[in-house]
Amino acid sequence: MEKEEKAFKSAKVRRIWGSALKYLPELLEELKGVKSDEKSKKSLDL
Amino acid sequence: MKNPKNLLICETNFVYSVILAQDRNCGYLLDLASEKKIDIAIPEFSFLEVRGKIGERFKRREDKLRDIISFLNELMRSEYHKRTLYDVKEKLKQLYINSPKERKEVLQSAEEIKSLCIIIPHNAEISYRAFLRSVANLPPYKNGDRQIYESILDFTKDKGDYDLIIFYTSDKDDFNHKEIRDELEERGIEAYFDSGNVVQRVMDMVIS
Repeated sequence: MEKEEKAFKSAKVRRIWGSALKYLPELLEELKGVKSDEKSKKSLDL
Repeated sequence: MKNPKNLLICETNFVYSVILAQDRNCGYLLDLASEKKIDIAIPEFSFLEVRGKIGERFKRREDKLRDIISFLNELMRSEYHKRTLYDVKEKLKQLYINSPKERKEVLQSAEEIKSLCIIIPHNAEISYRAFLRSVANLPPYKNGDRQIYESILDFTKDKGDYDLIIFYTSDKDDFNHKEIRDELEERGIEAYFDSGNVVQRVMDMVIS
């Protein structure tokens, strides 16, 4: 996850990124309808 | 030459994509918003949905932990189990104690997303229109999605000062309907269901 955090310019976005994954991994169950990098055809290679 | 004004409208799954570190494209778009290169607007209703889900998940975790700790207490009436289970119980207790602090941090993250976006307000009239939509059997068919969609239609009524307006959702099943595509097109809103395509479209505008 650290790699992704460094990819964003904004410190606020780096802080927000993955905050729920860290503290609330159960929320991943809600992923239905949530786009993931794996699913995106044109994912950014940051 | 005047810089083009770009508005990206997202909904609940955008917030989840970021706080669950699932889609870097969404993180990148939020980065662009923080640099004021684009505006991102998200319905108030979406933030309430996220808040409700986070609260519910933490409560469910706390309830489960309380049950397990209570069961461990019963087992630990025997000396044998007391020796083997003491560390497990202490760790679970710590998890239970930390729960409110962790909940606060996750909720704070959602608030920080808010601070980078325009919040699309919700009101009784929007709810009424969503109700009428259900009576007319028009998509989206889930109540939450209808509320979100109607708030977006209301918000974009007077957004003529933008050069580009995009509606992005990864929820293709619930939003990719002809009626919705036509309604958005009438308002000059481009609909996307792939975040990579959104990044590409936005970058074309930002660079031009």
